Amino acid sequence: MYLATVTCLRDFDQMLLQAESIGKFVEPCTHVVVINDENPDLNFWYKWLMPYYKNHELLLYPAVKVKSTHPKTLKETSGWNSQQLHKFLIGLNCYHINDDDYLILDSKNFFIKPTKLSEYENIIGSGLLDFVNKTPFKICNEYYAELFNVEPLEKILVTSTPFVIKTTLIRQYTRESLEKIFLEGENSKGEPVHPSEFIFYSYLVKEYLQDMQEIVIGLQFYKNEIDNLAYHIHGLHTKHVKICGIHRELLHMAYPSAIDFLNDWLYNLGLENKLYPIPLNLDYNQTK
Amino acid sequence: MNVTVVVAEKVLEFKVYLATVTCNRDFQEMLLQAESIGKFVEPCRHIIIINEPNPNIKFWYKWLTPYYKNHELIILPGYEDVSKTHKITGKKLMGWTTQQVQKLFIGMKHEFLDDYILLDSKNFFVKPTKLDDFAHLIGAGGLVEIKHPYEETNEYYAEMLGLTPFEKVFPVITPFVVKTKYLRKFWPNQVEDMMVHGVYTKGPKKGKEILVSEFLFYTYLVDKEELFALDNEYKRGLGRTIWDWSIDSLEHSLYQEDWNVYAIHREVIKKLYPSGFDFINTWLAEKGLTNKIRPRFIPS
Repeated sequence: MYLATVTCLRDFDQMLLQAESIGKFVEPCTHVVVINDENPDLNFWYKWLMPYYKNHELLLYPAVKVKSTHPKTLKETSGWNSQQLHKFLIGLNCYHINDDDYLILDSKNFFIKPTKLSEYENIIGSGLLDFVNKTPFKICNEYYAELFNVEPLEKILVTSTPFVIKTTLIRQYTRESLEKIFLEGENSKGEPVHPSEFIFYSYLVKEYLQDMQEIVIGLQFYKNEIDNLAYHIHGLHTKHVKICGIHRELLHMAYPSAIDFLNDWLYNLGLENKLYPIPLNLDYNQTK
Repeated sequence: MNVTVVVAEKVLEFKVYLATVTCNRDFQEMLLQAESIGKFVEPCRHIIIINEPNPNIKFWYKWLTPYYKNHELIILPGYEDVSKTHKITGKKLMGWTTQQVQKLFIGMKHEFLDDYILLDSKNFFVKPTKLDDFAHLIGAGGLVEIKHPYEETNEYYAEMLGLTPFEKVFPVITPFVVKTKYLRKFWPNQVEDMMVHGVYTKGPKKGKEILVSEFLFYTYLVDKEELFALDNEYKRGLGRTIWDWSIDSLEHSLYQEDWNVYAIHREVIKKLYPSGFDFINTWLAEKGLTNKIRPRFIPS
């Protein structure tokens, strides 16, 4: 098993923390990092990430070119949609030539305890299930049901990272077919559908979901948890959770004292990188 | 017992103020700028324009206000009447262009007529500074010969204002002192029309949007006599920008030279190695500044 992250310049700071946490807490492994920006400068990324990979293999790749516009709506392909596709293109050997399964991380994820990747070998996706009607993914779920010609799932894998991908399941598809599903998705009424890579994956493993033993493998701090940070951090350390993620919206809303609190916690974990306040809608293409 | 009463409004009666047009991308730099103003600049007003669609002004106030204990901080969204598209070609105007318009609109949109010192997001102060030290200057304090690729822009602006093209103009360097009396010869929309909405009339770029330069344009607004009374040869700006070609002489630029205002250009931030960041951050710490410069990559 190996680690894989699809990231972009906007998330560079978070990637430094992720890289440091891998260097500190994860057993030696390979980490595939795909930079989903136009013409990324890999030297820049290597320069800053490499020092953390003394015992790990870091493989950095520029994102392969995918369709830049939707053929019907002519809307530009968003980074949000393309990064979902790239998570699966990793399994198709578009980047790292490897048959192993992989653990997908989001840029915001970082490790907080010593971790062996073998711990994730038997996990299905995010390890947790949710009722679709409790999520905003109803239309997307119906679209994938149409695509797979089955009844819509009532329960789907929780759409969060870390997320385990079985490579053999991805290899049933070609790059072209995945591009069509993720970048040109539309339902039977011809309406465009926002994709969800993790709901799509739920259909690939649907026969296992019925009897799946749920397990928490990662904890995310969302903006509504901002007033209970101490409680959630305590929770992290009492559970067997080894991977954490702090949402951008939380970092946007946090007051200086909350950012300090989180950074004190990171420091006590032995991590030197910090979390920073971030404005939303960061546009790195607003060139000066 | 004699008691001296100081009226608060009088204390806040500033003559020259600071102004920065920034965007979300440059938030980190603005923290350092704000801290440096709080630490080194005499009490003054600082207007910050967030040139973003629907900026979260509260977010900016939350992080910058703590540095403005002795200064007046005014954070505003971009002026709405700045055009979103080019009036001739219909193309969307980039943030790079609209921020130039915003910089000049500051001097035309408020009831106070005071002159202002434009800062770039990357500027920060490193020693005690009185704004009066800059107040007598115009622009960046001198003129430089027109440089490529601004030759045609220069001709276009001259034509717009009915003047012969200048050979020397203000350099694109901040801090940049703007005298509002020159801006107020026109309405804001007139300034924008003349500065932004031109197209090339010849050559391979014919019909395409003209390259915009607010400081070049401003040169044509300044009274000719006053302009040429400036030292004809540009010697020294008001601040020091560390460019990527001086990346190997950081020690000299930071420790041997004497400037009130510095800026680390984004190309330096892009190319610098971790040891270079440590060097600059140690220098900032020696100045008493706690914010740091951090690695990041902004596409050219």
